[in-house]
Amino acid sequence: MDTSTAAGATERTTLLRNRPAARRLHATVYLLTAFLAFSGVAVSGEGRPSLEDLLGGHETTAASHRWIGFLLIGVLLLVAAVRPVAIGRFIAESVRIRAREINWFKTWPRFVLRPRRNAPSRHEGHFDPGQRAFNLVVVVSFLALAVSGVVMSLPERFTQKAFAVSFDVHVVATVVLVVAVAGHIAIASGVLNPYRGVGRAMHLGGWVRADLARRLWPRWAEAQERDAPLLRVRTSAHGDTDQASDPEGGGSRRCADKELAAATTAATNAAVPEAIA
Amino acid sequence: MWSVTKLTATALGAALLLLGLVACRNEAQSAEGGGASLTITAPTEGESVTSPVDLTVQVSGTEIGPTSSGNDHFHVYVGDNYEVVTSTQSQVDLPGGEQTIRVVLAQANHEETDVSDSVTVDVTGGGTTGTDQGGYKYGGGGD
Repeated sequence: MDTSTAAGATERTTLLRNRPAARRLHATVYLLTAFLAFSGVAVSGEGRPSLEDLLGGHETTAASHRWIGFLLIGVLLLVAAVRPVAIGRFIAESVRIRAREINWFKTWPRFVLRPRRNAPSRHEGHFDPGQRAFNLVVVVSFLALAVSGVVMSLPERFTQKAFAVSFDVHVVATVVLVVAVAGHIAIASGVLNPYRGVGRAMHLGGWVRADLARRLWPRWAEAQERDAPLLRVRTSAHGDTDQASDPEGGGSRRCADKELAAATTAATNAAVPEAIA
Repeated sequence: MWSVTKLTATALGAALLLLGLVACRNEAQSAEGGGASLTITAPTEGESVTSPVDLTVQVSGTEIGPTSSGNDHFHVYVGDNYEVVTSTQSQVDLPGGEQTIRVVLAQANHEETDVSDSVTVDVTGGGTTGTDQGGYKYGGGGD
């Protein structure tokens, strides 16, 4: 909401970071993963009755864990089947690393602690180097969980030793995934000052402020602003460029979002967007 | 002619369906227990016991152990309460009166088989008071 009428109103823009399909897939994956994490903890070892009772008992919890696991595998395979180019691009963007981008990791702590005085080293990717590392950890973890989970769901098809090894792999992959996701949530939640507002890239419309995008994903932001000007929404704010007090709301912006959404569909269908999804 | 995408999606769907059928068939096989059997050797049917009671299960055709080992284990039921037991010898805490102990053989992935046994005993002393205690405490010592 506008809070002042000072002259020289600042014009801000936002960029569309993730389209609805990507956001739906992201939500589906994390909801299913959250259920799997909860049910897995509930049924692990000799079981935790207080948690298992919430899901209908020990055997029901174990069965639902197996079948939701199969469902998640099916969803990801289906996405890979119907959007192979997007998946290939996601993998390619995630594994691509340039020697000079290693410096990004060195400058990141300073950027997090004092964002107004420090910017992270420039990188050339769709994902910043930290995101790429996270993507790889998640993909490898999911693969390990899927394979070990399938083995454990078919105990009579495999040896006892194979089950035991799969169990250990499943536990280790779970711990790795949980740690990675915890960091991901911490950053996406905006708890860290320089990332305030970045969560909107995957929720509440998929938009991200252009100034934030320029700091986090400079090459991607430049490409968006150069190649797809229709993806910008111009909103008028009064003299406020501080991330910490960004009002970010208002009916005028939501109306503009709806109008732009229609234009965006036409523009992005014609263009070759770098955004994955 | 179908596109490559449709063909790929269909092939993957068929693979998933096959995997599901294999899993279902495996569940049918596992329900039979794969040739394993179990018998509760202690306490005996109708025995008067005091709580906690020593539960001894004789099993053949499989090995019992922790789930992480890939071995089978038991689900021990007393009324509506149950406990996971990874040993052939354990202790069962029972309320007073006539109680039925049912032991079901479960695979390492917690799928129950059709292999089970039960005994009814008369608990005459040392029993717990409530019935809705969310699972009894069992001693799961080594095999």
